[in-house]
Amino acid sequence: MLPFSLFLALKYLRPKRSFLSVVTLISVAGVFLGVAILVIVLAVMTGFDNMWREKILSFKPHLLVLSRYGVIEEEEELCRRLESIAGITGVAPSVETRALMQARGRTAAPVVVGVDEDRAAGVSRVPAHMAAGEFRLEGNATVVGRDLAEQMGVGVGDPVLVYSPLNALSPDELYLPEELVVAGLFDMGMRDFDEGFILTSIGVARELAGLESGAQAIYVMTRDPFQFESFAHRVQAAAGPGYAVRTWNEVDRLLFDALSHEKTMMFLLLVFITVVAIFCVTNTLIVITVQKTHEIGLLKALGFPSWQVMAAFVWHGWIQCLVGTGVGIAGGLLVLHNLKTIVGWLTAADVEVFPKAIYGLSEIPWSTSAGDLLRIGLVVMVFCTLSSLLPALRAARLDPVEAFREE
Amino acid sequence: MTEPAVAAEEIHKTYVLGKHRIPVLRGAGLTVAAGERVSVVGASGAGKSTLLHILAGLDRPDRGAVRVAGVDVYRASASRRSLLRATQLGFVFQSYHLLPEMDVAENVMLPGLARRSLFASWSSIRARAMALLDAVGLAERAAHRPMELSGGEQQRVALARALMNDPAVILADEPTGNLDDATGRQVLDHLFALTRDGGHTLVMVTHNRRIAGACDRMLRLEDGCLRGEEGRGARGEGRPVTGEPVDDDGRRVRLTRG
Repeated sequence: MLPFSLFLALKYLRPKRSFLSVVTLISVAGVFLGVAILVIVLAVMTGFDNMWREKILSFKPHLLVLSRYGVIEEEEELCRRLESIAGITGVAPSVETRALMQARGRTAAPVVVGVDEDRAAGVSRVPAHMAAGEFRLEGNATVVGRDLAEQMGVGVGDPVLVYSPLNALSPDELYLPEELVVAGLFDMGMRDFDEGFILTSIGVARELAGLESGAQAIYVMTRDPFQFESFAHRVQAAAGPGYAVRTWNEVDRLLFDALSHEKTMMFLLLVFITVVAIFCVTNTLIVITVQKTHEIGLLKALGFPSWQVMAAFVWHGWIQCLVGTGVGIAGGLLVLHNLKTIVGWLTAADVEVFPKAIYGLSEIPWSTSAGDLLRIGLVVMVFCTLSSLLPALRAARLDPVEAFREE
Repeated sequence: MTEPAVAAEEIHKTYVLGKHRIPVLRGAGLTVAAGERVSVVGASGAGKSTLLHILAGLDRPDRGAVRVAGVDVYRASASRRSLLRATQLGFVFQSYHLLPEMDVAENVMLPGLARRSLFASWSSIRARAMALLDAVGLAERAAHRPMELSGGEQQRVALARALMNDPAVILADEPTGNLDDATGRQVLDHLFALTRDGGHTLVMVTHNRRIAGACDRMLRLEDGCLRGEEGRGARGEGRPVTGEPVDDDGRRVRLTRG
């Protein structure tokens, strides 16, 4: 059975002459806009967050095993121990070094990543993102990022010279450049990787890094990169105390921390904007309690307790906020699902909201979940409740005799 | 001796407006037996509505006590007073005070909804409201909004509302004040008939001595006190009323019926 306070609130929401009050519509519109903006901005920030994680995970290993004492000399034996752990899908020794690359009179300084050519496919997703040529690292073959290849003016089959950085460290020795041949071009969809890395065999990388043998790190890939804590413990146990295990989010901790703090800050700022919108509801309710002064007095004279009168106004505010929140979430999701089209319209109108040259992405990433939407809804409804209390308290405290006297 | 339906003793009420103190009631008192119809007359501004509000538990007096249906109104808690107003008191206002957002039936149902227990259904409350509207001749207007009714019809709806919970006491504040003579008489006929048939006690405030005289007893509010006169009402026929002074200067009188 409908509580009387809700019955009264529904009556007040419908004015005498029209279906909906203009004042109510404006209040609901304010909440709708605030919530829609919250949904859109948080979804885009979450999308960027997820995109960064995916891109990093698509290129970098889930776990890195490093020696606490320098170079890993028994890399094959260590790899065999790690491969026996359940859930580990790929293991490979690696050497990384920055080098100077020269071709067609142009230079660049990418990071050279050398991996065991037999195990490379198990620890890298690059083979699945080849834009041209093939993923081949045997001998002097190299795989180059597409953006780097464009910058250097090279294509599949072209030679490139790669100079070791030891030339700068050892003035008395000269390290001759490695002549590599571009076997393929990869496109990870992320400028940092496509412009900043080349892949070679571990032998070539050792030459550039000045290593006779061994590896600097063991790349480890797992079944579920988000269970990294659990896998990290198991890998550490298998590797032993002489090794340190680092997870992918530790390696890029600064980036993910920055993303997390940005998202939190943006959420707080947008919540404050939404609170301003919710004050429209407070305003409406205060106006209504003033307009309904004598009615409130009458209800009290008829025997309705103050809490029921108060509850009617809290319901009134809740219903406005609930409708605004619901429509706002729906509106926000509608915009997100049509984001590409909207950005296209803006671009056609010479409003560049998402330049690819800056972000390296062709469309705005977004992602939302039921949990995010629920969180937004709860925060908004908490503020709505607080904003309804002030006018509701005024109504509850109204003296019936004063109310009749005013009327 | 049965307890009176309404008993007020030594009621004092002063309004303070800035620096001004305006004493309205100075020791007013009255006793109304169950089923009795009493009118209170007085000049405009004498304090008649104030007295009625005090009897209804809406306006706390500065001094004095009020008992309605055996309950000491101003010793009771606020929630108890609300319950008293919902169950034992019915109010008829001069300006009808119907809620414009609700239809006629819903307006009559209001007191029923105020005291609604867990076991009272909406339909049973509505059925009672419809019966009362039928009694005042407005059953066919149940779905109309108050603004679609005339003044007399609105006051009849207000009367039905006042009787919704079958209260012990009806308080009427100038029930015909906004009506023409003919319509006012019609409303009064309904008021007297329904209160008589239901055995309700009626305390009515009016400035019209002719209307006041139709009650069993008429009290005059002068200088903040009540003085008694016999009315022409059926209950008052042939029964003398005596007054016993309570204070030394004889300005306050306790009335007893012979």
